Amino acid sequence: MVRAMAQTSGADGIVIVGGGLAGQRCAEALRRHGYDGALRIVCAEPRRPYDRPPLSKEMLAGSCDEDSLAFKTAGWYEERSIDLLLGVHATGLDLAQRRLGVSEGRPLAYRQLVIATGSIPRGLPLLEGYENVSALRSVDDCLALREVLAGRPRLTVLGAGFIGQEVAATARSLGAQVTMIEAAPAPLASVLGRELGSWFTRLHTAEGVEVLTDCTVTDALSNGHVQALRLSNGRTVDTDHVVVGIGVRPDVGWLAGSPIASPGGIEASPAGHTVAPGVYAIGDAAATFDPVVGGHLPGSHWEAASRQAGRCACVMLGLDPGPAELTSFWTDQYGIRIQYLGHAQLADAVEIDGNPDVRNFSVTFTRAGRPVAGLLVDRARELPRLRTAIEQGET
Amino acid sequence: MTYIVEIDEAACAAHGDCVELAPEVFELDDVAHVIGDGPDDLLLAAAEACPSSAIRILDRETAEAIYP
Repeated sequence: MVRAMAQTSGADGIVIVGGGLAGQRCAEALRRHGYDGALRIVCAEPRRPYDRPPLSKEMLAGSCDEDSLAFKTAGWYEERSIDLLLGVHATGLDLAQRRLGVSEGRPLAYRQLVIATGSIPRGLPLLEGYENVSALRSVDDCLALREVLAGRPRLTVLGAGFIGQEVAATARSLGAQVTMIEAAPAPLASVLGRELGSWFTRLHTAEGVEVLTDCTVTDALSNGHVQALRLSNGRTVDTDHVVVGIGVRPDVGWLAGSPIASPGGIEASPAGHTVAPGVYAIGDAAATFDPVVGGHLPGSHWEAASRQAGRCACVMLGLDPGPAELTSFWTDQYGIRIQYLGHAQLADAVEIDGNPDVRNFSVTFTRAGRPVAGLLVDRARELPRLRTAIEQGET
Repeated sequence: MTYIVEIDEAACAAHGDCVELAPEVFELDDVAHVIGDGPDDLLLAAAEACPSSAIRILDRETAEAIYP
């Protein structure tokens, strides 16, 4: 640890750019592991770092408030001498001089830099500029959508990924009339395959959501507001509000021209190393190397960002980060917990245990008879067993 | 109070749901830690709420696994 300190302390210390989950977790871990040099977090939003998963669930439903989203109190940062630069965003990076350009004040000098700027929702050019079209990424987005949902609108959700599905589920529970539109043949088809993906179509349909798959929006009918969407299958869907949830792109536009920039995210190791010495990238801003798949994958989920941040803090301090965990995620919809673990895209066979029709089943994805991934629907108890089975390659 | 609660540190991703439900029992760092005791139903609720299924509940007397 003493040696680690000598490498990392210094007047300029560590700068973390990005005040989301990854940046927050990295700061926590740095202090916990004994780093006592300067530590600054540059946060684009004017709020202390907060947790985003409730934005499509509890917070959208109105069952939790804004204050409860914050990871820590203001006092927590003061006690640990962590400077939060709120409402400040990064504007550029000088790798040679080790300086981060920011929107307010002089560039920030750093000894080590952690890039954790996260991602930005993808927009649909066809629907840009309309007041009744929105995305869901921030507290402000959530509060605005909550107000819309209070009027029980006809809501159209574009994209049946996790955000889209969770918004659809929450909106239904609040009495909105919901149509969800997905370009693929089924929700999550690219991860789970078409057959399992269509279970999600049935789930939402049974809850009163109209799910339209295999189609895209070709035109918007408007009078200043979008009134209806014309679809590639010939249908027209009348709507009061549209939520676009068709995925995200890494928020790395501010790095344009930098050798570490890439539209797919900053290429990084499982512990966040980039090609630039002293510069790390974690969370959604990174395209992280996955040793199982053998390539760089886009940032994806809460758990991946949280764990990568912890590993990154270790390697920055010269500590052993430990092995990378299996990819995992969870979603809560209509009161059901759904958990996923591993790499289903590697599978050559699928085994289902239980009854999908009663929303209680588990799926094991296997390759040459060995488990590589699993999906649990209302079977949280099986997760430890599944994790062990995949890690050990045994059924 | 017939249950013992344990955290599987390899599985815990520090979601914090347990701390929210039972702040007198759990504390959060990069993983959750057990810092106290609580009523059995509270421990079970925390275990069931964990998105990573990282909370184990054992019977204090028999060491039998109650959850998962």
